[in-house]
This record gives sequence, structure tokens and C-alpha cells, in this order.
Amino acid sequence: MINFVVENNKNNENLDKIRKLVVTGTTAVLVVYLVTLAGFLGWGAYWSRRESKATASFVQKSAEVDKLAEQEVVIRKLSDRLDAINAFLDSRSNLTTLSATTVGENISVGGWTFEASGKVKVRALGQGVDEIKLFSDNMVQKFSSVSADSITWSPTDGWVGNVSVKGLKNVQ
Amino acid sequence: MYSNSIVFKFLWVLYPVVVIFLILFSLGELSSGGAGKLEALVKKQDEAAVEEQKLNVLQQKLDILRQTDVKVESENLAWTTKAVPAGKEVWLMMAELNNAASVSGAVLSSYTGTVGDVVEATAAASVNDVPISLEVEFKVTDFAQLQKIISVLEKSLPLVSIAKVNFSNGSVKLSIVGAWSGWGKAASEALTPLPEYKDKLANLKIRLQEYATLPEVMVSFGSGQAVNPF
Repeated sequence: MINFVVENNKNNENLDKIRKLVVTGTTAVLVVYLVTLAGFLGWGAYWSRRESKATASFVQKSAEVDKLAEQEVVIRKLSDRLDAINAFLDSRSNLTTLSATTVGENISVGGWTFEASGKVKVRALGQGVDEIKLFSDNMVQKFSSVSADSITWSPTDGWVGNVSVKGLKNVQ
Repeated sequence: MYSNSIVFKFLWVLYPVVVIFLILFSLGELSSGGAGKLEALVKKQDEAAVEEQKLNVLQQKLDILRQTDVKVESENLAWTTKAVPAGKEVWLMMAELNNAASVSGAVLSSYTGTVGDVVEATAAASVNDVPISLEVEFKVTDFAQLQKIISVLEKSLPLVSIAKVNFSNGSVKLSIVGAWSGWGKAASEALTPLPEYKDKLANLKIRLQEYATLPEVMVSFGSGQAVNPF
């Protein structure tokens, strides 16, 4: 006679093992899933609250900025005007320096022209040709472009040197 | 009786089935639509960061505005407007030329100029950007007198630029350009940051500290009698 009771018990034990394994595994998955889901929703709620808070604060501060419109207008106007002044100052030539640089010892300036291109023409009057040469040499030290256009002598003016200069060097 | 015991024996199988169903169902709900969409939740962080950044910009702007004294800055604005007027203040240029002549001892013999509209330009008005340009002639004794005229003009407010000089035979012709700039349109967006101006203002005050302004708009024309040029 075959004993089926032993076989049945074995099957039941196996089934019980499978059941425990499945239930434990499912519970673990469920717990992990629920914790993850809760964390994710909590994270979303946290950022949502932060956004709402920031938006509310933005609206309130915008209203404050609107109330201070007078200050803002003055600052913007002032800044624009400062830019306009600096731009004008930077764009203009410094003729005070330029005119002071184009004088020389023992010569007198009989003519002086300044053109928009920055070119300066000096009519230097001297007692002798050496003074005109010295003046011209002096200009070479101070300007990047120097041209001795002409040198003449007449009984009325004496020695006259026409020198053109451009590009004042940054000499201390 | 037997079938009931079988059902109870395998009832636990439903547990993972129900859990899988719940997980799939909730994931489906989160990813497909409804108020709590997964995508929307992820976006929340970015949106909040953007809002906070905007708030930060606004807060910085608000801090500056709260510290701004309108009276002081209006005075600064008035001072800068003396350097570069908002309109074509040709009479001030004439006054500057007369002042340069009187300081240097030269004689202002003539001036002609291009001015255009003299109405103050506003953001609403069309800005006439033609510069104020005057051709001036002085009678001078020597080059030193011309140098004096130039140095006075270059240290005067409103600012002028000497575009051309022609000096010969006791006479000098100058082309003078006067500075002016209309009022620009102020930005009205709350989030537009305020320009940095304090350093520029401090530097400019140093740069222009030796510059002289003319106290009166009325111009003296040689006779010592104050008359309006128009």
C-alpha cells in the first residue's frame, strides 16, 4: 500500500514555501513602491509649495517696485545721461593738450589748423632754419605721423616751417 | 466543500496580482493625465527655480530702489543735464563762447550755426539727432589767446567739442559741436535690472570737477549789457 499522506505533506510544505516567498516579495515591492511614490509626491508637493510661495512673493514685490517707480525712472534717466556724457567726452579730441604740444622753443605759431580727422597743421615761425628743424624733430618725438610740408624764408616772416602732425603719442 | 478549501488555499495568489494591478494603475494615472502627472511634478522643480530666480532679481532691484534717495539722485540728474542737456540749448553755447572770449581777452566777431528743433526731445517725440553746430570767429592777438579760448571751452558745461580750428593772421575760426541727448524711454518691465550707475557717477564727478558751469543763461554781448540772444 502506498502512503499518499507523506506525499501530500511534502506538497503542502512546498506550497507553503512558495506562498511565503510570493507574499514576502510582493510586500517588499509594495513597500518600496509606496515609499517611492510617497517620496515623489512629497517632493512634488514641496516644489509646488516653493513655487506658490515664490509667485506670491513676486506679486507682492512687483507691487512694491511699482510704488517705487519714481526712484526707478530717476536712476534710469541718470544712467542714460552718464552714458551720454562719457560717450561725448570719449569721442572728442583734447585740443587743450594738442595745442600745448604743438608749440616749441624759439618759434612762434603763426597759423594753426585742426581738422576733424585729427590732423594738425602748424605754421612755425623762427629766426633760423635750425629752430624750424628743432621744432620738427620735437614733433617727431610727440606724434606718430609728422610731415614737414614746406620751409620758406621771406623778409617779412623770416623762416616759416609748415608742419603737419597727427596721432599724439602717449608720452609722459 | 472541497472546492472552497482549494479557493482559500490559493487566495494568497490574488495578493501579488492586486498589488501589480494597483502599481500599474497608479503609474498609468500618474503618467497619462490628471492633476498629479509625473511630468508636471518633475517640471515643478524647474518652475519653482525660475520663479525664485525672478524673485531674486526683483529683490535686488527692490533693495536698490529702497536705498535710493529721489532728492539726491534728482540733483545728480540735474547736474548731469548741465553737462549734456536734454534739448538743444544753443543759448548756453553762445554764453560759453562769450565767456571764453571774455576770459581770454579775445573778441567774438561772428557766429552762425545749425540748430534744428530746439524743443526738448522726449521719448514720445521724434528725436532730431542733428547736433548743434556753430561756426565761430574770434579776433585774437596770438596763439596763446587761442589756447586760452580752447581750454576754457573744453572745461565748460554744457560740454562742447571743437571739431575744426583755423587760426591765422589774428583770426580764428572754430567749428563747435554742442552736446545734447534727448530723454530715452525708460524700461517698464519689473524684471529689467537697474543699471549700475554709482561708480560711473563718482568717476564722472572726478572727471568733471574742474569744469565750470555758466550761472546765467543771459548772455553779455560786449557792451556789458545782459541781453537774451533771441
